Amino acid sequence: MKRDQGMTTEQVESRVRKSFEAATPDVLTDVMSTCREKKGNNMENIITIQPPKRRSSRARLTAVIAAAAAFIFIFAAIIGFSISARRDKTFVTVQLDVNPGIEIRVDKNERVLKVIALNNDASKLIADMDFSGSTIEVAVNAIVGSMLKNGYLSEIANSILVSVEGNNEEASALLQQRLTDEINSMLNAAAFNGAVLSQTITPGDEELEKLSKEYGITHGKARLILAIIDTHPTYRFEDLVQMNITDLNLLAAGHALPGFDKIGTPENSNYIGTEQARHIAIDHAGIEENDLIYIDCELEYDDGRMLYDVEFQTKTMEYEYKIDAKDGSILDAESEPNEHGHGSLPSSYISRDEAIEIALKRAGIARSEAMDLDCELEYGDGISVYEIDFETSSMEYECILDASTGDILKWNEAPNAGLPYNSPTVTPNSPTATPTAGFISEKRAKEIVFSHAGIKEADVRGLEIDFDADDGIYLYEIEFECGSYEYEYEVNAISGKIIHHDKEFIGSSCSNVTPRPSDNPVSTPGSGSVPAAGQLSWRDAVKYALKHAGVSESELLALSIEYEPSGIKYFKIDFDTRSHEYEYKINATNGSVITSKNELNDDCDIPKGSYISVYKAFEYALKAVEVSSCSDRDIAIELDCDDGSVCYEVEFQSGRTEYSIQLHAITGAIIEIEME
Amino acid sequence: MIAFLTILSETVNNDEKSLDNLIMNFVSGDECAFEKLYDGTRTAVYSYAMSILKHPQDAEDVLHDCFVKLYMSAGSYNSQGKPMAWILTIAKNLCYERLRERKRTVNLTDEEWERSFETNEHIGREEILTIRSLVELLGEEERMIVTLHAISRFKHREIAEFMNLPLSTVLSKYHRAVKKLRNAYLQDEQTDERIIRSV
Repeated sequence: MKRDQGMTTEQVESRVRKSFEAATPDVLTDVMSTCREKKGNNMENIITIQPPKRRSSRARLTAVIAAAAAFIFIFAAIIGFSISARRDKTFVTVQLDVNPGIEIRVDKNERVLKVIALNNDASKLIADMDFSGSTIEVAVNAIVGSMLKNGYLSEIANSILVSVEGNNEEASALLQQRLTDEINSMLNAAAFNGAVLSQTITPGDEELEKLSKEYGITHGKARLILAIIDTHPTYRFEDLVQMNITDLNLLAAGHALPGFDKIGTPENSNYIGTEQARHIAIDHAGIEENDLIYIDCELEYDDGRMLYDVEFQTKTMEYEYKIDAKDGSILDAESEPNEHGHGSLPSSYISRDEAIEIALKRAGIARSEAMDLDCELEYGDGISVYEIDFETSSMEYECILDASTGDILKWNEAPNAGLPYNSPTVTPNSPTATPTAGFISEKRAKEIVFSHAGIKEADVRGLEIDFDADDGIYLYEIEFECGSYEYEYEVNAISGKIIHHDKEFIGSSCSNVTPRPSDNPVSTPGSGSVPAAGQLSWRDAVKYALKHAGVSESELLALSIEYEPSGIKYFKIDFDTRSHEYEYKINATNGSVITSKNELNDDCDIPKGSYISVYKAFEYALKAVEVSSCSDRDIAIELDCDDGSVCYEVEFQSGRTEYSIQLHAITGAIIEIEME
Repeated sequence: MIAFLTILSETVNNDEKSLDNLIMNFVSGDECAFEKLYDGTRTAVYSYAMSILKHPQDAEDVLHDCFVKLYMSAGSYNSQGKPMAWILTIAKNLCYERLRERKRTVNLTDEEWERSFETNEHIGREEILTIRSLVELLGEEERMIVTLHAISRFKHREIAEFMNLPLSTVLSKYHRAVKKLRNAYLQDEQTDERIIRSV
């Protein structure tokens, strides 16, 4: 339980829960009446038989016509019913596309009714396989297995499209998920990394129907091509329809395809790759990479071939190259002076002014307050960024932000010690001290505090110092522990006067159980988990992932491990450093990397400091609850910044108990233990 | 303590099991089972819809449509031991349909917030403020994570699976969200105290 925040997590949860319980309206009566109405409508569609009446001859003639009409109607109804029944039997259609295009019709119990080959490759693949009555999983397994065996799915053509078409959206979505997982596992078990595109389709789309009939393809492939054309309106359906799913997946890379789920990366080893294309273009232009302010390289289809479109700019020139994707030959090269200099930026970039506004907003100051404002567009590490520096009378700021998204990638602010102090806003309640030039140093602030507390710095644990502005008063916030007490101080950063101080007894038990960073808990690699025989421990799996990522253990801010025991056994390992977020799947038997992904970590709010490692945090957490081993199925260790204080959150499971333990990031002292 | 935890854990499992049974019983023709299912899950559905739509009336509509859909399609339910995830997936799809129609979420004014609950005699100022803080202070994923954990009683790793997010992301977003809510509630309490003192 947190001491200083007045309200525990459970209390917050309880308040949310009770509020929603009170707010939730009771709509049961309406629900039931709507449902009965719907059921009633269904009943009305059934033909009602009228009781016979006495009729005149004219009426009888009418009756004969009516009877004939009724007969036709009933006959039509029977035909209709049988068609409808046949349709109803096909509850869902699963479509698999690689180059072979295959449609599998299944009934409500997910039993195969029919498998249809849509092209010659598919006919050869299916040959005389009979799936009638088997489950959809068995059929998909056999078909994908055959695609692998016959080389339709391979290192150079690693993508498959899975489309599930059915009226019941929920059932289709669930089936899509299951089949995607199944196929992904099969591809991962092969000796290459596969890529799965998947979607659900609602039947009745006339355009898809028309295109699939015209070109002899599945509705799924038709929809994928239409989605790609949406991103590139110059593409033509008749060109793209010839491509296999790997090439289509490559054309779709980097674009959002609404309604499609993507797993894995399409293989481009048939082509020279974007890096090589960039180099060819830059070398040909005779410029240095350092001179670039922007570069973009995209695989495209044009005039019957795949090519890389490379666009780049220096401060003086703009270039556009078209490079043959297969052999790297230069198909077209254009250049012209960049007359607008920095003004001629790709439309996808935010403007210089917008970038400055973002930085000023983050600093919380108006443009008129910013002095020595400098904003440069730079290119490095594969992205273009704005580097913005400015200062006010009291602070200095440095900001780096992504030129495409405007996301702040790096932010630094510090007291502007180089400038004379320029009358900060002093509130009526502020101390009566006369502001002097600049601020007192952090060191001086510490001396003031330790002297006041009557202690030596050497005895202090968990020291944290923040420089902050509160209601116009600049102050140092200093927190630490010493002996059995926790101390909090606020020191005026100009006068050095102590504004506030607090000393709280935290008990001897706390310090007794506090492991110090220098302690060496008894541990061996893999401690804390119970790996199955013949399998890697999670720590070994993490090592493989870190090695692949080129990241050291000390750089980790967060680490989570999940073990997938079914199919190909693997560890799903996610970890964060200050600069990147990584996702890995590591084969639990041999340590090979099944999939890897990383992206910029743009919301890291952990201040720099000497924190214990994630492993130490984990060991301290185990020790705190006297657990010697835990399940390796779900472990999460994460640095978290809470009100300026940095702590580790450690979660794991042992037996049937889930533990959530919060501990101090520097000292390892246990702050909170939750068990569920 | 261990005994208590075991009981707690069994209760949670039984909850899922009993929801499963209720759906099965309803499919077999027991309408009371549907009412029990409704009673046991309506707050979870409504709060989850609120977390996506940020609009009490829209969330109420989704609550209604979700249970109509459940009623009509319970026959196609394929038990995988996760009935709550199935129900919330239906709710989620309905919410996104509604968002597609609206193009974006709509922020309510003070007056609209008050009007939204004026016919509800069970709800007071504190409850409205609690929900409003959740809707206005948290990001969409934070809102979803908090409602899934606090109301639907999903564990963090179940949320990670349900939302297809890394567990570490779920944890950090959850802690961040709770912190924001805690601060908002504390501020509210302090405001109340100031008002009481001034009176």
